[in-house]
Amino acid sequence: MDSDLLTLPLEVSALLSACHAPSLFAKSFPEVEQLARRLAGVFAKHDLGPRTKVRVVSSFTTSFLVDALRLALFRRGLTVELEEAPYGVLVPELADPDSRANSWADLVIVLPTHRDFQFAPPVGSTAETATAAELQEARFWESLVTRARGQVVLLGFDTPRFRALGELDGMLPGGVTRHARRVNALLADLLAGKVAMVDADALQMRVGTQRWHDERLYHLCKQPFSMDAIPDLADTVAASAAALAGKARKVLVLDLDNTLWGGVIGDIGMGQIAIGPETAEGEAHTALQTYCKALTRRGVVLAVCSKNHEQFAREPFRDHPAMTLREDDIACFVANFEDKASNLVRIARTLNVGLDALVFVDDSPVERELIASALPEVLVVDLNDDPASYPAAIEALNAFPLARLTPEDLDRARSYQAIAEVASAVETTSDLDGFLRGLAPTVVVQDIASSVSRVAQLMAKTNQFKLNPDLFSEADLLAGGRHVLALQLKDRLQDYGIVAVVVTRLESNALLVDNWVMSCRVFSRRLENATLELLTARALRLGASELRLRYEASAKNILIPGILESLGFTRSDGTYSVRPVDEPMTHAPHFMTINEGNPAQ
Amino acid sequence: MTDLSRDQVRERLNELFRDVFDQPDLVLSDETTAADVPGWDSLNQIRLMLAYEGAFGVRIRQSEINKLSNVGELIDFLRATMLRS
Repeated sequence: MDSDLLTLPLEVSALLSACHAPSLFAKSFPEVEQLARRLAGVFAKHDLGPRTKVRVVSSFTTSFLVDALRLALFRRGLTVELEEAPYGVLVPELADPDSRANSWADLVIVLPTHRDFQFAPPVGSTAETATAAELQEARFWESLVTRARGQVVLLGFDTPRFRALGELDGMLPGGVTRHARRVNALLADLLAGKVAMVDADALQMRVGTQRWHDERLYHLCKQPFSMDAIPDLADTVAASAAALAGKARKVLVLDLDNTLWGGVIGDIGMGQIAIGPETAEGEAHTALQTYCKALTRRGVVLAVCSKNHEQFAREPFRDHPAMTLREDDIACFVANFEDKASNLVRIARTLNVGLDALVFVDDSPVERELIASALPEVLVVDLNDDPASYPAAIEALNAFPLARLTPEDLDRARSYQAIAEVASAVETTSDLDGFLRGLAPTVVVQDIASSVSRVAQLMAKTNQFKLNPDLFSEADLLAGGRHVLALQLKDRLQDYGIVAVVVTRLESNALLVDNWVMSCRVFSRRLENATLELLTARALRLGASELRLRYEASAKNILIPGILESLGFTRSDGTYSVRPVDEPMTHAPHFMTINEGNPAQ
Repeated sequence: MTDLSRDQVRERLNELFRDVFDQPDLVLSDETTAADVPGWDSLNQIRLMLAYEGAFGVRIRQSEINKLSNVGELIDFLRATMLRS
């Protein structure tokens, strides 16, 4: 747990811990609300560290939603200062460049409904009129939600309960249902990569029309949905916000016996485990494996943590014909008779992620209880004893939300496998230099104009190698005045994509580094040494005599001071660390070929 | 819903009020009014209404609730509503 908690009164710490109960948002609204209101009280009274500034903008009453939203965000790692825009000013607030949403907030949550449509065509319109109206509507909202200086989560438009065109309301021009669906589809294209869109149809379906449309409550207080819809709405929006902030979890850790297959393999042998189409039990475990495999295709990393002899545990992954998951799908495979808490710590360290990146799936209530108390940062999935329910239990937690999909996401599983390979080699090899040289690494300097999305995402997601909390929007990165060094790393194992970014500008005689981030995926590769060389070369080209940067300690970037010292930076005036450009380079060799892309940069 | 005595209804209301206002020591009497309970605003009025419905299995119209002036009248009203449904 965060050591800041030790300074809080005991009952407050206990409350904050209770907020992280895995299935809290599956409980009834009154239970969620009670905890949410108490959390609001704690937030008002105590200093919990830096807060993300969040503005909620809607045309309906958000008074009952906001406490649950604050709680949902807190559960996902975002401690927020939450403001509601005044009731009824959705469009003006978004349109005004000086509004709180556009100038103050780090994150804006926009919650329109079908009642806010500006251009819904009347019944009897032609198809041409309707199509033009859909485009006009989508462009209108696109223009509104892309003015914020911060990140935006946009709830798509819902569909009305009262369908003027009956069953055809979704199909014919003039139907609000049709307008909503088509506007959502257009917006998804227009906003891809810029704004995180929440699928309103899927949400409405999960909540159910009866609870999503509460006419009585709407007349009473202008909240269009029942109180019972609030937990799902709050958590769904919070999940997208967390994904934008880089707080989505990354690794699914799976038990083997009675989780990925039926039976205890050490007792019954590989031939007897229940997996595959012969039995309903086997089918259920196959379904879980298939679900996990699908997750790997969009960036979720799999690990195994099993109490078994390693050779028994690995055998089905190699030789059993009905297994969907193979050894290749598992980035980190841990099978031994040590306690699982130690093993989870080992898995996190091998993959260079925090414990808060892990999701733990184990059929044994004893193991789950153990991990929940020993490692509260790990998300433990509540399971019953029926494996048929396991995929749905994992899905319901929405632990790996996506705000956008990048090539790095698609490749991440393989990338983490390579990380694990390097990590174990680094630990065991006696000739590290030889190993690193043998990987034949290349660094490619990327052009910012074509990589700005990935750069912004990397800066937001990185926590450990990050000098200070300063972030830059895509617009900031593309504006003149700053130079962005975006580095891609490749070697014979893998293309890691863009893994380091340095934002600099020239300030009198110094090349000032506004921020420098490097992905934990490439720690122990000595990329920081190559980066220093590139920065020094740039400083020399520009006539600067020193490199200057600002380190600000956070809970996670404690490794920075040691690295800066080994790179030859010294603290000058307490705030800045400097390194003269003519200081000799004494760091370990990185063996990287540097491809500078466009040398004019 | 079986007939509840005035005391039973008051007891249950006590629990609801303690939850909604987050005051574990709150004690209601028949004379208690909105002015006596700090934080009894329009938002909490709605929370209370929904809580009464959940606790007593009734549907309440806001127009009826707004006419009541103290907890004693609320208890009478809820008992009458339960008998009707």
